[in-house]
Amino acid sequence: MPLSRIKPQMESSQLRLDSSAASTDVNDRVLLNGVDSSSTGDGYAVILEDATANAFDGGPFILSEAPISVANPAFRVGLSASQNLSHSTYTKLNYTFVQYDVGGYYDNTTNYRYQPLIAGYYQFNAAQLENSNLDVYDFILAFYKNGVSALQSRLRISVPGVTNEDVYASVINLNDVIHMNGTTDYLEVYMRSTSEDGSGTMVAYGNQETTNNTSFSGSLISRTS
Amino acid sequence: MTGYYTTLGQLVTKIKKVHSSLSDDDLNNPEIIVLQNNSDGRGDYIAKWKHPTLAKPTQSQLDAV
Repeated sequence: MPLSRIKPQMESSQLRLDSSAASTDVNDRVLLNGVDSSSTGDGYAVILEDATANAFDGGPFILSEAPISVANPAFRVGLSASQNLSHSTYTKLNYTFVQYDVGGYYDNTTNYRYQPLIAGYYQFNAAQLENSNLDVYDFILAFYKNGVSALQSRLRISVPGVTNEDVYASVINLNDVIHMNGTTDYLEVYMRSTSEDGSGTMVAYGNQETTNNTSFSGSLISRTS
Repeated sequence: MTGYYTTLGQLVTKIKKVHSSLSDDDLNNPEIIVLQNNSDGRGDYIAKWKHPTLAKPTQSQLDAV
């Protein structure tokens, strides 16, 4: 029915939810119920009830809480300063500098992880400069999803008979499309550097003024709920 | 489970002392050995040890070197 024909029949509060919450309301998007005089449904404009006739929380819509207005989250963070790592040890990079974070899902103070509250497929990217001037011959950057390695990028040089190989000042990149469930899934970036010397303090370069050498970024490309 | 080491490089140094025959290729192969630090203040630890011949160092072995 055209809205022009509906509008004359609508008075204030005529578009309202059935507060009786009967199970027959399941899957009703908008329920017009002229006999419902209850005001308990006020505040909900469009609602999808679940099987127990409760407000449906899912995807970007959490109707039991204040609404989330962000439909397309995106973020880019970097190392504010260089981070020291143990030799040949996968170490989480603590990105504290936030260039932007639409949606506010990156934790740059405690866990240093991206945990979006919208389920879907996300494009993630990371780039990191190796800054250990210690004959580094093996350099790894990795995505860890929920604490487990999900993808690694590796730069390794090992030439027989040659010593003092060094990938110092090299930048490697890491890219993937990863599904996040919108509740518990989180993504982190780990780095590992290995020196020919077999020891020493390794360095992940970081500088808040020049994040072109250190970044972790991502954005939602396809929502699944 | 072996413990955590907060001093940079301490764990890998101890592992090399316990297993002097451990090659760099094995140590640096993430399919065999993974040393990890979650940057949570607890330090380095052995997250994975699947060496075909050398046993994972025990805490007492690591403490002794």
